[in-house]
Amino acid sequence: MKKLSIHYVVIGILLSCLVGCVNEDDVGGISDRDELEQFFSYHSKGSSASREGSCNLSDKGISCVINTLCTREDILRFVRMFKVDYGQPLWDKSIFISCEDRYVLYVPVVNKTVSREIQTIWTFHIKGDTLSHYPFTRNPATQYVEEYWKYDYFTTYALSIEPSSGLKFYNYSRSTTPPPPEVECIHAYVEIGGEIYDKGVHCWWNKDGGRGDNGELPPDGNFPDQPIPPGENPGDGGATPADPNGTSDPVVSKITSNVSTLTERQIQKLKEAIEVMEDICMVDALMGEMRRLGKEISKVNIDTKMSVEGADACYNPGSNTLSFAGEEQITPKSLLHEYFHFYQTQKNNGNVAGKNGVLEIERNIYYDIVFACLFKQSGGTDYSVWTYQPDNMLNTCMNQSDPGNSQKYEKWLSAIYSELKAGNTVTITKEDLEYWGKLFKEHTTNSIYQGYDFMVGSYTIAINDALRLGVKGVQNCVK
Amino acid sequence: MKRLFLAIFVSCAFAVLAFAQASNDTLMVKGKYHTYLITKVGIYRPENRLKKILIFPPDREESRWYKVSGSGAPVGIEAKKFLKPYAKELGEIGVYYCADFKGNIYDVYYYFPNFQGCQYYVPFIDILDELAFSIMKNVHSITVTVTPEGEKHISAYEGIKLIPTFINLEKDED
Repeated sequence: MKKLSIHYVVIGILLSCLVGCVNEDDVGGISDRDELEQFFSYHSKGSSASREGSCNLSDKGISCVINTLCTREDILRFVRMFKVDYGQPLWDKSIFISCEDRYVLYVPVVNKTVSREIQTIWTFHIKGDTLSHYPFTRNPATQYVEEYWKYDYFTTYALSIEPSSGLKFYNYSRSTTPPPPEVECIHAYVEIGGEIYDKGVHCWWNKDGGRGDNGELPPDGNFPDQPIPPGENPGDGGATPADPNGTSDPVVSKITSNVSTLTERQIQKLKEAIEVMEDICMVDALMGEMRRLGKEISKVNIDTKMSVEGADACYNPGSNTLSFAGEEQITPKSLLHEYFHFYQTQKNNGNVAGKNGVLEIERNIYYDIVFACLFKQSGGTDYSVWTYQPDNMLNTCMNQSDPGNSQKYEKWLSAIYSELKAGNTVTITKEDLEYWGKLFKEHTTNSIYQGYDFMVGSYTIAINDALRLGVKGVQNCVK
Repeated sequence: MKRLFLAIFVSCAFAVLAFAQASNDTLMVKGKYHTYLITKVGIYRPENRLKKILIFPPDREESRWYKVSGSGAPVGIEAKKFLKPYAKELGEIGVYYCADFKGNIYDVYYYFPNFQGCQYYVPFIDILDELAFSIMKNVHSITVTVTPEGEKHISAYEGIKLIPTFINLEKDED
């Protein structure tokens, strides 16, 4: 009975959480009020969130967006225009994410008279004290998954129907409940004739993602930037709990100041992993450079859903977040692997969307060089130096199938060591990365890597700077 | 005296050639201890190529199976000692070696990045064979510690191929 009463109270609270500009005096008659209430209908996720803090932040974000929109003098006209041109926004099904310099809210918009699927995503950016927004509409001519997956995602999770493209998403059941909003990347696939075809991992936020719905929003007279009323910004008021451990810890603060969701044990494991990084001279130089430039990982957290995909850890360039699948996975190897992705992302000003192939090849080569140098420095006798090598050497996959190139790779590493030892700089070229990337793709058995594009394109090669850091000045790590 | 040694060396090389079986891109040559196949991807004992081996450094899963620690003189020093007289002829060499799970090195083989053709290496088979013998018997010992988890898996493998040593014989550095 008591439980039932609590349910009624909770339902009452949720219903009362309709956020919006429902002010009869401002908008006139009751029908206008109803119209606005319906348009801005949103039910607070409140404490039903699976993760502490994040959904409260999401509520604050959505509240901020709605209340800011309602400061428009022509709000009723605007709402009517929007409904005719685009449809009804589904605020309850929106995705709210925290990015490096802003919050971003993606709101699916349904218009059943036009299509049974989601064709419009109303995108909001909360940056500083300004709200920018723009409704993106699906282009039926798009061919690439990166261009349409968000629409299919909302069709799947907001409308609970299968998109006609056949695109599916790993991990989550088809239900009206979408994955938690803090799930910032989605792994997609299609199933044809019982066969699964990987369609890659896609992240909500990719700065300068190339489609226009990330980065800065296109200017539009109907959707002008609006000042956010005081106190509405979700970043105000400490929505993210202050962390008593991480921010002040001198070791942890070498890579991040936000470990607010980690337990003490997890922070301890992170510290141990960072200490291993410090012991590797070349990597320590890398960390030092990032600190000197004031660059740090925005947040380190645990994301248990990653373990379903078999990943130990993941660095999200969009949100500048490092996630581990669990406490067990907070290891020096995982941290080394992901930290270099952080470094690569910084070197590319965050613009690494679609560059997974070259990111992985470059990271693999970097650590192969670092550890080969350590081993050589030991006179080729101390095998323990390889303990923290994050991944297989790049050529391992070609050892049997292409021994010639496998040996060529080992010889190449040896030549690089000789150069670095002599205090010289080495230049690993676009051609080098693409050459080894092509071979790796050909020989690896990892289906995700097989699907990557290993072309360098506009990517800024980071490895040469990274290697230079380890040998420049009086302290040559390789000597 | 030097000329005498050279003459002996060349005649030995021709004697070895008599045992060689030639094909287009491989050559089988008998050394003092073992028979080698000379190919552009290496000079190795063919019987060992059939063995299933682990590769060091290991991947994340295999790193839970065993640990390797080293002691003794490095392969590079021994290789230089044996091959220095032929530095100009051999140039750069990669010395590969495999150990069983007791830490015994049971296979040594070679890779020449600037491969000169199969015939070119025939005169050097004896010295390479001597070097392999020395590395296996006297030079480089390692310790392999197999974990309880590794015990479940390693019976399927003959040993571990270790990270190779590359030496430019013409340079003083390793």
